[in-house]
Amino acid sequence: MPDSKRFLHPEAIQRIARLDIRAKHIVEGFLSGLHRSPYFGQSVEFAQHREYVPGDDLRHVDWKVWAKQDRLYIKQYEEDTNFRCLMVVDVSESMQYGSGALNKYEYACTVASSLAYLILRQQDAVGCVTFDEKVRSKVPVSNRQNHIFPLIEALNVNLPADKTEMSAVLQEVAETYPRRGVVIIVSDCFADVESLVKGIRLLRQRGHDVMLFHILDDEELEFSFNGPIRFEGLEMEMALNCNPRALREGYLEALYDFLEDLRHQCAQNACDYMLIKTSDPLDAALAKFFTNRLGMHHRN
Amino acid sequence: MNFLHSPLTWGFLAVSAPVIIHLINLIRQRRVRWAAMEFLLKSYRKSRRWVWLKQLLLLMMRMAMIALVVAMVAKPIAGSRLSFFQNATMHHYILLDDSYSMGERVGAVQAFDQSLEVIRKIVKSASDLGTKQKITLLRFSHAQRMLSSTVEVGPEEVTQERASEELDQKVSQFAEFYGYELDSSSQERLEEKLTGIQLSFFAAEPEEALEVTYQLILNRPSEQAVIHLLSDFRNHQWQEGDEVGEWLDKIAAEKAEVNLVQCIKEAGPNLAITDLRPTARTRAAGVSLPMIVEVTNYGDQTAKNVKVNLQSIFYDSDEKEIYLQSQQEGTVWEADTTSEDILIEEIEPGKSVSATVQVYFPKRGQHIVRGILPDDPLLADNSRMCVVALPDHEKVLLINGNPLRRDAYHLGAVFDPDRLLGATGGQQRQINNGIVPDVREAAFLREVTPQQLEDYTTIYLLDVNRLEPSSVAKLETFVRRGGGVGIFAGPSIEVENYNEAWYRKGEGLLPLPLLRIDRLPERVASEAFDFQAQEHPIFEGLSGEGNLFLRSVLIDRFFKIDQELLEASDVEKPGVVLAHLRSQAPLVAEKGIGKGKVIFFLSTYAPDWNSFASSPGIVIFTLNMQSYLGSGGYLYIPRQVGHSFDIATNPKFQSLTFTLPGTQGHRTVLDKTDRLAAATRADESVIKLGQENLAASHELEVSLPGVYEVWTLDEEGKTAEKRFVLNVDPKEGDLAAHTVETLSQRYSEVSLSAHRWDSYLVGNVQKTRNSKWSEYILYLLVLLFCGEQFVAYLLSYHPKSMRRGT
Repeated sequence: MPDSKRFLHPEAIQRIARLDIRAKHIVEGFLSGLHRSPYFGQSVEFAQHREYVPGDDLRHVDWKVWAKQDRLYIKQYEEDTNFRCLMVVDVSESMQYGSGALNKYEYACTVASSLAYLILRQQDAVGCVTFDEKVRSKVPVSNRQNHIFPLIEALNVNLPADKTEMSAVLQEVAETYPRRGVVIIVSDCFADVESLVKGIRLLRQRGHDVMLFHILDDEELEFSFNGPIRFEGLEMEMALNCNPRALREGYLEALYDFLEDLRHQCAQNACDYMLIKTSDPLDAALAKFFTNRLGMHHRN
Repeated sequence: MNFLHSPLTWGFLAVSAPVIIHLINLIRQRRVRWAAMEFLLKSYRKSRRWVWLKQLLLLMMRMAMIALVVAMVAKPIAGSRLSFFQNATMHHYILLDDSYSMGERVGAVQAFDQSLEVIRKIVKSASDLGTKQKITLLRFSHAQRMLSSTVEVGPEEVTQERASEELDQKVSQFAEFYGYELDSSSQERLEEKLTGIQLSFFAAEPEEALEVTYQLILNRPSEQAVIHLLSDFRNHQWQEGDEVGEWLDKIAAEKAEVNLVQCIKEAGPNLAITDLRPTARTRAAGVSLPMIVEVTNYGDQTAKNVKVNLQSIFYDSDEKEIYLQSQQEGTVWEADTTSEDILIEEIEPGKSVSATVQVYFPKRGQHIVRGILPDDPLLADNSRMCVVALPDHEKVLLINGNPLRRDAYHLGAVFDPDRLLGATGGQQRQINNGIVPDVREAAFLREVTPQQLEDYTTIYLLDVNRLEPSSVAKLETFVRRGGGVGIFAGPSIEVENYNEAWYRKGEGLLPLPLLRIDRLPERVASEAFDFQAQEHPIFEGLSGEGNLFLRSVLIDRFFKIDQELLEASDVEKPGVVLAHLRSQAPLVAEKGIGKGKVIFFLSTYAPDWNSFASSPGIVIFTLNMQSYLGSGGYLYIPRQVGHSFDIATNPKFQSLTFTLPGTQGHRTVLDKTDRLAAATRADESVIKLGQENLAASHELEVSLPGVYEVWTLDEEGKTAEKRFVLNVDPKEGDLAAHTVETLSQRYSEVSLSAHRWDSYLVGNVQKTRNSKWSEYILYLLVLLFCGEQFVAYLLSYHPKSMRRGT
C-alpha cells in the first residue's frame, strides 16, 4: 500500500474532526497517488502559472519560462466546465450504526464532502441534498470554491428520522434539479428496494447519470456477533433477544438476497452501483468515481 | 442407586449450571441498536422453532453431560432398578476358597493370606460406604460340608418358610459371618474371625459355595447381592462346561453382581507325592515289603534329582500298655521312626514317576509309611502316608487230596524251606518268607468254621478228589471276604464233582469246567514251548523274551476243559486264562469272586505230570501266586481328608479312644466314648465315623491329614487297635490356574468381572461393576459429547463458501 493511502483509512480520517479538512486531506492524498494530474481543462483561455509538482502533465509545462528561469511552471487555463454533480446523502437514523472507526453516516458524509471538494477543485459544479424520511436540506449546484462550506453545513444533521419512501425523495430531487448532471446517492439503502429503484429510474429518465454508493458496516455484512444480544431497531420500533449465531445464516442469506436484487435492479437502470464497507479506505469512493467518470465519457 | 463417593453426589446440582449460565447471559446480554432489523427478523421468523428446539436439545445434552461426569466420579454402585428407588441393603457374599492349593507360597506370603487381605479391604470399603451393608463369609470347605450334612425332617410338610429357616440355621452354623450388618466395630470382629481361619487340607470345589449363595440370594430378594469369589482358580476346579458356570448364570440372573478375584499371580512349580502304597506282596513281620511311591511334577519344567524321604513309623504292641496307662484326653506320645532317602533322577513336566522301595518292618502291627518331598511352593502335598498292617506271618492252608502228599510236600517246601533244611519247630527260621503252611486233609474243610478259615490268607487245594457242597460254600465265602484259593489238578480229581459242585455253570469257584485228563504230544524242535504265560503278576519275573524259566518246563499231562459245558455256562466269562499249553489248551486260569481270587492250575503241582516243580521258576511262581492270592485281605483303600471311614469293632466295647494327628506329627488321645455311645446301637458292630460324628463337635479331626487311631477296650480287658490314614487329594496339587483374562473370556456370557487380588485391593469393593458402569458412562458421555458438538455446530454459522459478490 502506498504511503499516501495510509492516511485515507477511516481510522486515520477519524482523527480529523472538521469535515472540510477531512475532504481536503483525502482529495490531496488521493490525487498525489495518481500518476497523471487530473488538472487539465478544456478552455484555451490562459489563467495563471503554477509551479510544477510531480504528477503534472508534461504537456502543460511552459518550456519558455523554463528556458528563461530554469524553473518548471505549468500553464493553467480558465476551464469552462459543464460537469454538474449532485450528491444525495442519506442521513436517516439507520446510517447512525457503526461498529468501526466511522459509522455509516460519518463515512457517507466524508465520502460526499471529499467528492465535493474534488469536484470543486476541478472547477466543476456540485450540489447536495440530504434526506431521511424527506429531504432535509438542499444545497444548490455551484462551482464556487467556497461552496464546500454550505455543503458541509448541509451534511450536519441533528435528530435524524427514519427513511420511508425513497422514490418520493428522489422525485423531489429530480424536480428541484432539472438540469442534467451526475447524481450520486450515498445511502445504506435500508428501505424499500422498489421505491429506491423507482427513484433511480426517474432520475435516469430525466437524463441524470446516477451512481449509488451503498454504504454498509462490516458487522452488517458479516454479522459476527457472539453471545446473547438484544437487537433494537434503529428505524423500527422492534427489539429481538436472540443468539446471533443461530440466526446468522438466515440473516446473511436475506441480506445477500437483498444486495443481489439491488445490484441487479441498478444494472437494469444503468445505475452504477458500488458497495462500500465502512472499513474500506476512503479513497475507494473517489477512485470509483473517477473510474466511473471515464466510463461515462466512453459511454457518452 | 448408591454411589461409592456419596458426598460427591452433591455435584449433581451442577446440572443446573447450563440453565444458570443461560439466565446470567440473559441478564448480561448486550444491547445493539441495529439497522438491518428487517433481515434479522426475517431470519428469526424463518428458523425460530428449529432454533428453539435445537437450543433446548443442546441445553439438555449439556445438563446430561454434567450429570454423567458427576456420576462417573462418584462411582455408582451397581444395583437393581429396585435399589435405585428403594434404599436396598447391600449384602456382600464373600466366598473364600480354602482348599490347600491356596497355600501356594510366593516368598513368605501364601495366596490364602492375600485372600484374607482382600476380605479386610472389602469389609473396610463396604463399611465406608455409609449405607446399610451386610456381609456373609463362607468357606468352600464349609459349604461342602454344609450341603453334605443332613437335617432331620419331621413328618410335617416341608414348607418354603421352613426350608428357608433351615437354610438360615445351617449357614449360621457353617459360615464365619452370616448376614452380619457392618458397623464401626466390624473391623475388630473381622480380625478376630480371620485370626481363627486356617487353610484347610480339602480339595474344596466352588460349586457348593455358589449353590448355597444362590439359595441365600433367593431367600433375600429385597437385598442387593454382591458376590466376591476369592480363589486361585485352578484349572481342575474351573473346567469347561462344569456346574460352576451354571451357578454363576443363575446368580447373575438374580441381578447379583459377581466378582471373581484371582488370589495368585501365576502358578509356580510343584512336586507332589500322588501315591504311596504297599505292593501286593506277602506281608509278615521281618519280611521286607516293596512300597510304591509316585511323585508327580505339576510344574512346567523338568524336575531333576528329586529326593524323597521315606519314613517308616513303627508301632510296638507295648503301646497297649501305654494306652492302658494313659487314657486321659490330651496325652501325647510318639513312635520310633526310621527314614531312608530315595532319589528320582528326572520327572518331566506333567508326568509321574513311580519308584519301588523295600521297606523292612521288624515287628507285627499297623505301621505307618510316610513319604516326604523337599519344601516347594505348596507344602501340603509334599507328604503322604499309608498304613501297612503286618501280621507275624501269613498262614496258608494246604488241603492235600493225594495220599502220597507229593503236592503238599513240594508246595510246603517252597513256603517253609527250613523244613527241607531240617529245622525243627520252635527254632528261629533261617529263611523267613513270612508264610507258614498248615497241611490238612480234605475232611478238615467239613469241620472247620468260616471264622476259623479267616486265620488263613490263602487255601491251596492240591489234587483234592471231591468236596462236599458245604465245604465248597465255605470256600466261596472265604474268597468273597478277600481270601485266595489256589487249585491244582491231579489224578485224584472227580470230574463230575468238580463240574457240579465247584464249577456250577460258571458261578462256582472253578474258573473252567473239566473234561478229562489229556496228554500233550511230544514237542518237535520247531514248535513253541509247552508253557506259554500271559503278562500277569503271578508270572512276574518268569515271562518275557529271553526268560528261560518257563521255556524249560515240560508238560506231559493236564486236564482238558469241557468246551460244551463252558459254552453252556450261565456266566458269560467264568474265568480268564492266564497261561496256555503249546496246543492252546488252557493251563492256568483265574477267577475273581467278591474281594478274593481263585487260581486254577490244570496240572499237578508236584512234578508228576510236568517238570515245573523241579524247575527253579516254581519258587518265584509260587511266591508270586501267594502274594497275589493273599493280597485280597490287605485291600489298600486310599482315604482323603474329610472322607468318612468305617470302624468294625466289638459291639461290647467298654471304652473307645481316639488318637488324632497333630500338626507336628505327634498324636493326641481323645476319648470320645460318651459321644459315640449315643450314636451307636448295641447290635451294630460298625461305627461310622466321619463328618456326621466328628465334624460337628471336633472339626479338626477329619480336616487334618495324618494318622487316626481307634482303640477299643472290651469287657474282658482286651484292647484292639485300628489305624487310618487321611491324605490330601493329590489332584489339588496341580497348580495350573486360569488367568483373569481367561476367566473373563470363559464366563463372557455371564455378567461378571474378574480381577487380580492386587488390583482389587488398589481399587475398591465395587470396582468391578463400577468399572463397567464407568465404562458405560464414559461411552455415553462420548456419545453425548459428539451429539452436543453436532447440535452446537448446527446452531452456529459456518460459511459453506464465499458468498455471492462478497
